[in-house]
Formats: sequence, C-alpha cells, structure tokens
Amino acid sequence: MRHSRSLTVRTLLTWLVLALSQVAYAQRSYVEDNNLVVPRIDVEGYGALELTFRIGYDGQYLFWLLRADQTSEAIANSGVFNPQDLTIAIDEIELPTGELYSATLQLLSQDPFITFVVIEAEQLNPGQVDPGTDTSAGAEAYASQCASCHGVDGSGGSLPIPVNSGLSRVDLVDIIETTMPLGNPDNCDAQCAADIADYILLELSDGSGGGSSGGESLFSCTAPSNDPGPTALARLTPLQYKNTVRELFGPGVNLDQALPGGLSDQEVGKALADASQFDVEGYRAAAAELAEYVEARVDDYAPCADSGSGAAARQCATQFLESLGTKIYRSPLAASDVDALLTLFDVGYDSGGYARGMALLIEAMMQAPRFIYRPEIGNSLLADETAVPLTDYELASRLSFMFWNQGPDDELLALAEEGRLNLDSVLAEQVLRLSNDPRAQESFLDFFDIWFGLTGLEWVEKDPNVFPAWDDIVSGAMREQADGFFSDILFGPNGSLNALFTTPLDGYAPTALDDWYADASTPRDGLLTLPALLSVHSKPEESFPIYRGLFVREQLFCHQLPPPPDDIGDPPPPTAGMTNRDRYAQHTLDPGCQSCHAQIDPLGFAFENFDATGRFHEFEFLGGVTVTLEAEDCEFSNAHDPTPSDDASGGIYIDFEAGGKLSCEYDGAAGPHDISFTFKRPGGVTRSMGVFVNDSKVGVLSASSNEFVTVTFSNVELEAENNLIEIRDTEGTRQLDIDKLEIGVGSDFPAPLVDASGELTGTDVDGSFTGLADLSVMLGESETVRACATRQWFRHVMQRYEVPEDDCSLKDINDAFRQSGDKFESLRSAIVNTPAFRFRRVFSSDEEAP
Amino acid sequence: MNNSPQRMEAAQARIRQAADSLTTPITRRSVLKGLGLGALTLAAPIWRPLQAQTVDPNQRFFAIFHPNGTVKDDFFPDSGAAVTSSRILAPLANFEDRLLLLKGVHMDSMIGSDKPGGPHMKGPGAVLTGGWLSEGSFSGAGGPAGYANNISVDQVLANHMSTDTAFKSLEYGVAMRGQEPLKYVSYRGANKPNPAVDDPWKMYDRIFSNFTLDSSEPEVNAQLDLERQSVLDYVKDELDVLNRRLPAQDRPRLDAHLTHIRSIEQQLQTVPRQQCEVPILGDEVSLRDADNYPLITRLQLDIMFQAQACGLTRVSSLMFCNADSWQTFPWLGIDEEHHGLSHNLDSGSIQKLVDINVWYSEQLAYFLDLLDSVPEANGLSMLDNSLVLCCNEIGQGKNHTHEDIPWLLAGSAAGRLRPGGQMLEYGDEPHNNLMLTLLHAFGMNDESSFGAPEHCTGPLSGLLA
Repeated sequence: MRHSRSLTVRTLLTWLVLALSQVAYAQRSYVEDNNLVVPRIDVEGYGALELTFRIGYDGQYLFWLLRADQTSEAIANSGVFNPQDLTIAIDEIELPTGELYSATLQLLSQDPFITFVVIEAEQLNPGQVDPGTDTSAGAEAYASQCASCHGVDGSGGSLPIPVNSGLSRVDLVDIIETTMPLGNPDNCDAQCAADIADYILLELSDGSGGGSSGGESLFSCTAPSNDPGPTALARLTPLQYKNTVRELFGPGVNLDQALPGGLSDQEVGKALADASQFDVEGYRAAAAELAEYVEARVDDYAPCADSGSGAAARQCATQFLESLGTKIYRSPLAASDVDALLTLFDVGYDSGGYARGMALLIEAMMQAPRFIYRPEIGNSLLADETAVPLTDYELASRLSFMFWNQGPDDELLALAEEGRLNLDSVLAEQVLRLSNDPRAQESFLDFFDIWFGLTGLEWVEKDPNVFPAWDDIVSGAMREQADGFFSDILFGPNGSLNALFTTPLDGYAPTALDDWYADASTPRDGLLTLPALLSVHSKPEESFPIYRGLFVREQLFCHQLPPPPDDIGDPPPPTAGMTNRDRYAQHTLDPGCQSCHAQIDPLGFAFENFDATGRFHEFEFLGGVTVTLEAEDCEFSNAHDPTPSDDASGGIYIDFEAGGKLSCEYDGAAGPHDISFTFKRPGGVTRSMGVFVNDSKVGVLSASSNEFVTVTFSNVELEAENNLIEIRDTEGTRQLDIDKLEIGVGSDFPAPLVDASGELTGTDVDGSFTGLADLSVMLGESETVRACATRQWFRHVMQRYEVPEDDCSLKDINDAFRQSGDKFESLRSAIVNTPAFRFRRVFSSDEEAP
Repeated sequence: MNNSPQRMEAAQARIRQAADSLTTPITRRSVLKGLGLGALTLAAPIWRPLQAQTVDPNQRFFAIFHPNGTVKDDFFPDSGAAVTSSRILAPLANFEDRLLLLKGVHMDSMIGSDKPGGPHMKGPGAVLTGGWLSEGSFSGAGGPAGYANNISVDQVLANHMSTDTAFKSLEYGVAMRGQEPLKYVSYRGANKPNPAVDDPWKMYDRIFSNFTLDSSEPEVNAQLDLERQSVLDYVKDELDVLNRRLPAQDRPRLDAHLTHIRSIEQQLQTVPRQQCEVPILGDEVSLRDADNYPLITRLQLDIMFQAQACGLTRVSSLMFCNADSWQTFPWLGIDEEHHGLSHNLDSGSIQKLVDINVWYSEQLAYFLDLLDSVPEANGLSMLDNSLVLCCNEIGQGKNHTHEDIPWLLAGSAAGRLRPGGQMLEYGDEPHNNLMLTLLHAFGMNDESSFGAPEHCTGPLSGLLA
C-alpha cells in the first residue's frame, strides 16, 4: 500500500509542480486512505519550515515526507530524503490521541521553491471507541454543527444523508474532520471530529450499522398530520399567463410583445417573487392590447349584440361578467364586484360605445390581482385549528394550473359551482380527464424541463471553433428528441423512474443528430446520455464535469451542497495534454475544496465520454495540442552556464563541453508524438548533434545558418511519464542557441481512453462505476433518487420548497410512486390527495402585516 | 459577425437622421401603444413632489455593472500615472480629467462562509447594496441563496431624487441570462430586485410609447385620461379589497404591486422636458445572437442617455450581462465564454480578458461622449452633472477576490466630487463607505451609514470636493 500510494502522490506532484505557481499557506491536514496528508505548504522565502499536525485517534503511525521539488536532498531532524521516490522516512513512532506534533524541514538553500509537501501517516493499528467515553462535548458539537442538515437524531434530515452509514470510528473521524461541515471543514477540528464521531457511535447508532435509507425513513412522518405547510400568494408565471389568455380569448391572441419579460419560468419559487415595476407595466400593456383585441371583435366575446340601448348594454355587460368574468377571476363575482365593474363599463360606453365598454372591463380585470395572483382563502366554515380546506373554485385552479399551466376550463368551473369538485370520486375523474388532455403533456414536459435544467436549451451556444456543427437545427432536434423521450416516460405504458435512466435512446434519433449516432456502439441509454442534457450542462467550448456532477448531486439526489469559499486559490492553468480529471485534481486534494468536490467531481467524470454537445468519445480529447517545454524542465550537464540568447528570441545559448547534454523531462501521455526543435547555430557553422529520446537516437539537429530553423521528428514513441529528451554533444565542440522544444500531439494521435470510472458516496446506492451506464443503473435503483423525484414534483406543483411539515404529504406521494412501480402518472393523483394540495393553513385576516 | 459594426453604423445613422428631422413640437397624449418619436413640449406636471431633503435637480446617477472581474495589472495604472495610462482604461483618454479611480475599496459585505451563495452570486447582491444575499432556494453558481437583503444605492438615490420624474429609475441590461439572482444589482429593498431589461425594444416601448406627435384632439385625450384613470382606480380598489382578505404574510406583495400602480400613474402624469429627442431603434434583431451584442449595447446606452436627457428619470443602471456571464465576443475574435476565460492564467486568455475590458471601456467612452455633448441649465455638461459609477461583482475572476473591485467614477455629480484625473489609493475600505459617500454627493448629508452597519465606518476621505 505504501508503495502504490507514493506512486499516486508522485504523479500528482509532478503536475502540481508545473501547475501551481503559488500557494499561500500550509493547510490543514486530512486523512485519506488512512494516510494523514498535509498538502500545500509554501516555503518560499523561508529558511525553515515547521509543519504542525494533529492526530485524531490512537494508533501507531508510520511517517514519511514527500517533497515536490527534486533538487533539495537534505532534511534536518528527520529521516533520509530519498530523491527517487521523493520521500523522507521517519522512524516508526507511537502517538497518543489529541497531541500536537510538528515536523521541521530545514532547507539548505533559498532556491528551491517547494510548492507541495505531503506528510503521510499510515495507520498501523486502528483505534477503538471506548464505551465509557464522555459524549457531552460531542452532543453539543453535533447539535450546533450537524443537526440542521442530518437531523437531530441523525436520521437524515434535509440532506437527506444519515450520519451513521456503518463506518468504523476511524473512517467516521476522517470524514467529519476533512469534510464537515460541508464546505467549511475548518469549523470542526480533529478533536471536534473525534467528539462527534464518539457521540454518533455511542448515542445515535442503532447498532445496525446501516445508514442506507429505505423509503420509510426518507420522510420522517411520525404521526399523521393534516398540516398543509405554508401557503403563499402565488403569481401566474409568464407561461401560465399566456396559456390562461389562450383559454379565455382563443388562440388568436399574441401578447408576446406586451407581456412582462423580466421573469423566467425556470426556478422553483419564482412564481412567488414580488412583481417588479416592469412586470406591472407589462400587465398593463398586455391588458390594454387584449382590450383593443376584444373591442375589435366584440361580437365574438359579448353574450349579445349591441342593441344601441344603454340599459340593454348594461344588462349585457352583467351577463358578460357572470360568464367570462367568472372565468377570468376563477371564481364568481359578488354583487359589489359587478357594481364596480359596471361603473367602469359606463365610462367606456360613454366614450366609445358598447365595444369600448366591454374592452374596458377586459382591461381592468386582466390587471386585477384576482387574475394576476392566485389567492387561496379557503372555506373557513370547515377549518380546524391547523388547516382550512380550499374552496371548490380554488381547487379547480390548483388542478388546472398543475395539469395545464392555465386557469380552469368551463367543466371545472361548473363542478366547482355545483360544489362537487372536492368529492374524491369527482376529483379522481377530473385528474384522469385533465391527464389525458394534450395540454397536460405540455405542462408535464415543463416539469421535466425545469427539473433537468433544459429550459435554457434554446439559449445554449457553443464555440464554433470547437463545435462547428452546433446550430439551431441541432439544438431544435435535441429538443424534439428530449420531448419525445420524456413523453414516453411520462405517459407511455413503460414509463417509470427506472426507465428514465435506462431506456435505450436509439428509438429517439432525429435526422439532424445522425452524426451523434454514427457509431452504433455508442452506449446511449436514458436521461444522462441525452444530448440535450449533456449540451446544457457543459461549457461552450468543453464539457464541464463540475456542472454535470452537481446536476446529479443536487437535482437527482436532492443533496444540497454549500457554496465554494469566497476567495478560492489560483486554479491550475490548463496545460496542454491534461485531461479534465487531471485539471480538476486539485479539487479533491485541497482540503478547502475537497469536502464538496469529492462529492461532485467523480460523478462529473462519469460523463467524460460525452463532449459539450453530447457526442461520444472513446478517447480523451487531447488532439492537436502542443506542449512547449520551458528551460526549467531541462537540465544541462557538461556545459558552460547557459545564458540568454543574444537576440530577442527568448532562447538560451549553450556552449557544450565534451559529453555535454541538454536533458529535458516530459510527462504526458503514452503514444507517438511529434517532437520539434527550434534552434540556430551561433556562427552558422554546419554541425550536427544527436537527438535521443529515452536513450534511443531519433535523429540529428543540423543547421547551416544563423537563422532559427525548426526540425521535427514525427511519430516518436513516448511513455506516459518520465520521458527523457536529450540533445547530446559527444565531441564537446558545439554551441547551440535553442529557442523552443515543442512536443506536439498530432490530430491522429491515439489519446488515452477516457477514464469515466469513479465512486459514488454518501448515498443509498454507493459503489464504484464506470461511465454513465453504471451510474444510470445505480440512480434507477436509488431510494433517494425516487424520493428526490417526489420532492421535485412537489416543488413543481406547489411552487415552493418542501418544509418539515410536508413530510407526511411527501411520504404519501412517495409511497404511491413506489407502489406504482415508479410510474410518473401515479404522482398526479398522489399529490392531489395530500393535505398540502387540498388545504391551506388557517390564518386570521385581522393579524398585523409583518 | 461582420455586419454588426455596419448595423451599428446604420442604427447610429438613423438616430442622427431622426435627431435632425425632429423639429415638430408635440404634446403629451396618452396612448395604449405607440412608436413615438420627436421633441416634446411641456404641459404643466399634474403631480408635484414633496421633498424633504435638498435635491439638486441637475444631478444624475448612472451605475454600470460589468461581470467576472477585471485584470488588475492592466486595469489599475501605476501609482501617480494617468488614470487612462493602463491598457484597459486607455480608450477613455479623452475623459482623463473627468475620471476618478478607486483602489483599495473592498467588497467586504459579501464575505463570510455564513453568507449564502457562491462568489459570483454574492457579488451582484452586494455591490450596490452593501449587504449580502438572504437565504434562499436559487442554486446555480454556488448556491443556494435568495435575493439581496438591502436596498441598493441607486434606489436610495432614486427615492431621494426622482420624486418628480416619470420613472423613479430605469434598469437596463445587455444579454441577461443565467439563474437568479445573478441578474440583479438594483434592489428596491430586501428581496425586491429590479430586473435589468435586456431588450431595447421593450425598454423603448416602456419609456417612450406614451408620447406621439399628435396633439390635435384634446377631447379625445381627456376621455382617454378618464378611462385610464378609471381602470387604474379599479385595480387599486381591488388590491385593497383583496389585501384585507389575505393573511398578513401576503400583504407586502400586494402593497408592492400597489406601489407600482402608483408609479404608473406618476409616469402618466409627468411629461418629458422640452426638446426631448427619442431614439429610433431600427428593426428588431435577435437578442441571443452574440453578434448582436454590440448593437444592443449601443441601443441601450442611447436609450439610457435619452431617457435621462428627456428628464424621465434621474437614476439609471445598466448591467453588461448577468454576473458569472458566459458571453462570447465573436466580433473581437473571442469565442470562449467570459467566465471561463476569467479563471485562466495563460497569457492568451489574459490578453482576451484585456480585449474584452478594453471594448467595455470603448463603450463607456461612447456613453460619456453622449453625456458630454449636452449643455445643461446650470452651465455644466450633462456629464459633469452626472456621476457614472462603474462596478463589478468581484475584483478578479481567477480567484473570486472581493478586494480591489475596479470602481471607476466618471463625472462630478454637478461639482460635488473632487477633480478627476487621478487614482485614489485607499488602504482597506469597505465599499459601504463608498456608497455612503455617494449619498453625500447627492445631498443626503444626514446619512451616517449605508448597508450593513458593521461594514460601514464612514465616508471615504478625499472623494468629495
């Protein structure tokens, strides 16, 4: 273990030396694979360095130090530095718990810039938790730092991740200390982690050791409750506004220009945002446009023709208010409502006659809060101390907005008027009727689009240099494909949560995406492989594992991760030839990043076979890059001190002695490379020098003038790392003015296979995976993912996030979902039967405004 | 890609042509929609403000937001050197003595692991509010978070100054995408964001559509006025009735709605200054096509300028994209997205970031030119009467730093700021102090704090005249 571990670290070190230009301070140690690691210690400008670390638990440790620079060889007060594997062995020592230790590195010179020091401790015998341990400190720490997410009893809470997943004390301490609280692990040091671990193991553990949460424990509904959760005043989303206008006035109206444009339909809770000035002006403009539209064709809308008589016109207006007016307000108008509106009608009638009067009614009602908002007062006669049932009209609205994203139609309003809509049988019939209408399809597709973040597909742009095939036709085809697939999942006979993740997409391949399907062997099953999804969760120029991993974590598992720190360190610059996995490796090394990114990045890497437009790649995309080796990557031997060239080229002038060598190290990827040298011979004398790669001669450098020339050697086989590229002067009589040494990777370079493997942690379906095929299967089997689907559905319909009081409603929905075989259609009737849907909380309208 | 400058030229030409031909005086008439243009004469304002504090009616405020931080080394000039000697600010050389650059003013209020939201989210929520984001459910660039917890400085100024104008303030955007709350810097109060509208044609309709050339039918106007007022009265009554039936928690929502209805009334009852020229926009173009970004920018700057020149408001803000913007700049040969570039350290990426910011400086120069071309009643140019505050959500993209936000001030708020042409280097000042100083510059001298009080230690020294 020690050996392989060292190798891994050494690989990381190699690129970190190149990648990190500066690291500000020594960071907290963390434990990984039972190794204690103190990463990132900046010793620039220091003559000595003290490392301080804590040991969190009993045990014997074996220490060694790893250094990033390869030049310095001596360490004071410690074992012997081994330059081969960059380790410093320290004798085996015994360490009691909770003490502070330090190691001192004495640098011999100021020159080496150590960017990275790793101290590893291998635990030789794991410590055990003592049953007599005092857990009061742990209890306190747990309550203040853990309970809000994991629940007071450790059962999961809002995350929902139970705290005890059967881990050993050692592992538990490790995880807490290095990752908790998520995003801010500095808030809980080794002692705190040990205290909390003891508390969890002794007080919270049920002894089963199993934390994998079954459906039962995902929602802590302990006693039946009719608490419907909070009810806030919803405002129509732009889509609901548009659809409702269509229901009221027919498909001929186009209000796109007049509608408020400041709101998108995307986010949960958005319908609850306060109206802005711009919105309200938009409502006014849209209402005015509608009024003009109705005025021009009043006979289509008014219940009777203009008779020319004022009294008759008023009578007509009254009828109009009872019919279309009821539909606009989604509830009947009171006599006082009619009176107020008739006064308005008179104003219009006086200035422009019958049609103008009607138009003014439209203009006013379409701006009224009863239309813009969805007030839910409830039937106070039937209230208990907690909840009050919605009125039939309010229920009609909820159903209609849920299924059709619009106000209720005539049938729903008629049932409400009869007072029958709240009957279970009638409600069930209506759920079926509404479900089977094409409008339901639109509204449920909307649910998936919002859940999966696809509402922005039409706005996605790709870098034309990287993805020249991307255009509106392609994104339109992706939309069409997604809609077709989603429709079958939502409404088809085999549609289920599991099918969402595992159904082959071969049957959903629009012509415009032929190229995406050119390789028949491409595994393309389920949601995660959908080109639309892959394109949205990417950057314009490249795939972006972070967003994809976050999508799985936050949208599919409903895990809520905290934000990144305020001032992140400098990221590693992209070095040509690095895979995404290499580039983001710092995320999972740096303790400040690691706690969250360890949960995100591995999931993102599972997507790495698919590029930013969702096309499949078997090999890493490294094509066409050129690496320029810098002077510091090279060593000179048997040469006078190299000096800068006597021109502005930035090159280096070398005067060799006998046996002189320029040796450059290169780590990249195995395979054939183009290696080119740009150089000149000072004085322009024709002489040649041998070029050797890993001790094999590949050719000679020869120049006949004082001008720079570039000589390229093609298809030189390189190893994955530790390649030695040398220019040798056997006679020691030559000078070389070398400007560039470039290692090119040709476009046909067989780049390494994509590594899409990883480990899923912190869920009920933990395990290792390779690529999306494995991950999709795991998601399809996860209880947490099912519960998350339930939550997402609830959020979508209720237009708010769930609160603890909703747990019983959620549990009911989740149970129905599971019992149906995870059929999405079961969600529709399930939510309709919950207290959250049928009731609102009681309130007194006399209370003071906050 | 290539026709954008031409389109821009064409639009500009149309604006110039329209300005030349607009000699017909017109009067106000309320219309439902219109493509109005022209110079306007005054009718007596119906609505008159009650002003508690002194307002200098010549003063104007503009806030201009840029995303993703700057490139510090290329933004800040050397100490003592000319403000516009840096690469990024070079395009503003004509305005050297009208610019003040601030260094060492940090956005402390956004900092803290206890404050919700990722750095790109926190920045826009803090930059003008001196506060931070509330708890909320918006995910995205590092969420979750809600909206800002404080009123923004432009809105404090609007409440103070824009009491007699048609619009309290106007918020413009260019290419506003992304999640909530990346799209807002202007807040009417806690959790009350003002959307920055990125469609110039919508902004045009909103601002100018109530004016046409037709003044020949006073009776018709009177009747329309009555209808309009009757409808608004009805809506106000309805809001009141419903408000009394709802739980207390919902009432602020309807109260806010009512405030907006009242603002509409105010818009309808006030009129622009005389000789107000209305821009002509030309045909609508796609808002999502990156090639159109320069054109949309110009149109929004033109409208923002004209709306103030017409006296329709005294406070405006413009957001160049949402925070965390992924905008590309194909007309500059930059097809990578801005946010990604801002995290890169290689010289090629940094050059591109500089190019982007140079382009933004050119746009600012264009805008300052517009302002400088208008002489105003107090003998100063509109630019001198203005304070244009340029800000950013973070200092630099690569590390999300909240330090050294690239604050740039142009104009002098009618002589209230010290003379320009210098970079003021502060040790370590929270940006709330800058916001407080702005309030003082606009006559709100009684204010002693702005935003989160723990981040406000007093006005910046040496900024005011």
